[in-house]
Amino acid sequence: MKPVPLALGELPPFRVPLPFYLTAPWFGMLAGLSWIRDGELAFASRWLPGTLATTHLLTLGVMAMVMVGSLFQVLPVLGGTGVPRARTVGPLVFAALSAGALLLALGLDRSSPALMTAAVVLLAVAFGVFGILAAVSVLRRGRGAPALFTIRLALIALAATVGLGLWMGAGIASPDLGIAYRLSTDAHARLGLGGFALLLVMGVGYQVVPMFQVAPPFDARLVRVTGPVVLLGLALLAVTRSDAVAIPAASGIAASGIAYAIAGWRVMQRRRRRRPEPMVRAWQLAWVCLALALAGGWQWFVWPDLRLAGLPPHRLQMLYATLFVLGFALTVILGMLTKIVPFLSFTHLQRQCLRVRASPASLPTMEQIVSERAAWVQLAVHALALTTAISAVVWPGLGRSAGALLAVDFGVCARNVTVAALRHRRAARRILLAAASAR
Amino acid sequence: MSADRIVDVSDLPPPEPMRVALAALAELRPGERLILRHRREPFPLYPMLAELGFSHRTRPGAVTSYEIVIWRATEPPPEELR
Repeated sequence: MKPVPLALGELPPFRVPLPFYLTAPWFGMLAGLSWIRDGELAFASRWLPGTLATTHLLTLGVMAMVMVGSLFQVLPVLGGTGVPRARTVGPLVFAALSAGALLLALGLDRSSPALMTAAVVLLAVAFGVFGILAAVSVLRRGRGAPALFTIRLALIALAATVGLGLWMGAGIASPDLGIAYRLSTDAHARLGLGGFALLLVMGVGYQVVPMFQVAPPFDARLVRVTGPVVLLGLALLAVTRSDAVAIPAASGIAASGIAYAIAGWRVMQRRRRRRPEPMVRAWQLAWVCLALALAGGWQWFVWPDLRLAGLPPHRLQMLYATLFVLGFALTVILGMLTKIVPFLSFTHLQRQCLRVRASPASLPTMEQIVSERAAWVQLAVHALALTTAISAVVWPGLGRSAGALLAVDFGVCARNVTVAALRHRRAARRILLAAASAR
Repeated sequence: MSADRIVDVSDLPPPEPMRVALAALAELRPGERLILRHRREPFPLYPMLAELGFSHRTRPGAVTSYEIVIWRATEPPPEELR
């Protein structure tokens, strides 16, 4: 697959995605504090109020926050057409998503119908507005970059996840409605993680791994096949419980995801720059975790009663979910934030240079925005937090340590992104001064 | 015949090729042209070149996938490109 050139001229201003990036790590820190509070119960069952709250702090507050913020930048770049009215809609989506995610976590934690009602309304606004405009953006352009195909599928999965989530949220907020929301939780979680998160990271990876790591492109057939197989499998799992359908569907999803992980590893091994880089190691860690999580998910469909290493089935589910969320999705997100924030900062500063006719010599390097050392520290702390969280599924006594390390992990991320934003502002001011003094 | 300054950015991740190319252009002497060796076509560079007063022509490269020949717009294009 030949990556399509990025249409950087279509980028919305840096201030559109930046609030999403600056806020997401704070949700991660809250999730860490929640694990510290819950201690041994942090990984005991997915149904505990505290666990439901923490899960949504991580999936909505961190993952969806960064992904939606990034889509404001990615869609125009890959598709050639931006999200309409990004400058005005961006702040609205950001405010509704951050307030909605916080209220949902609080509502789930305290089992409060009032908080849940407010959260459902805010999240409906956030995803409704963003979803409609993102759909307009991807439909307006014909084919776009090949990676855009997988991202379109991710947006379909997002719509289904949000639809089910709002339905369930309404059921919890208004018990009188009699919505049997527990029946939809598996489909909601699978579409959110296996659909939106996996397909989006896949689609973005197909484009950015060859680009940032100076590696050969992914195989075009893999790009065409993996996304549809995953989405079809998830759709089948959402509508049937029959083993005759569920096992082949789960096998297709696991095979596609593992094939993507292996292909990614191979592409990375053939990169032209052989020096070790934090983002290379982050992708590799993420792919290993993805393969393990999907193999585990497949095992759960084929042998649902299996006990492994003394762990009962519900603990194994927690293990696979931890591998997916913390090991795969958040490893990529935390790694990409150390790469994409300085890249976007540089790109916007470069356009500013052009606009005000300043010398390009006044541009900072990416290293001056977020240093490679800072990216290594981020990866090391994240690997430690991940290892401790996985250990806490087996030994619940480690729950508080996992929470403390998760809080530090996202604290490092918050520091990196905040410092990058301040350095960007200073560099933008320097460029304006340089342009003024040159006149 | 114009002198060539050859810069190979094919092993650099973005946005380094752009930064290196702009730094090389700042040092380009009158009559000199820059040959940028690249693994992909640098679309974001083209509007910057025009804005900075340079002309360019992209051709398949012998060493890398693309070669972008860049010269001052006030000077005549290189002979082999006329």
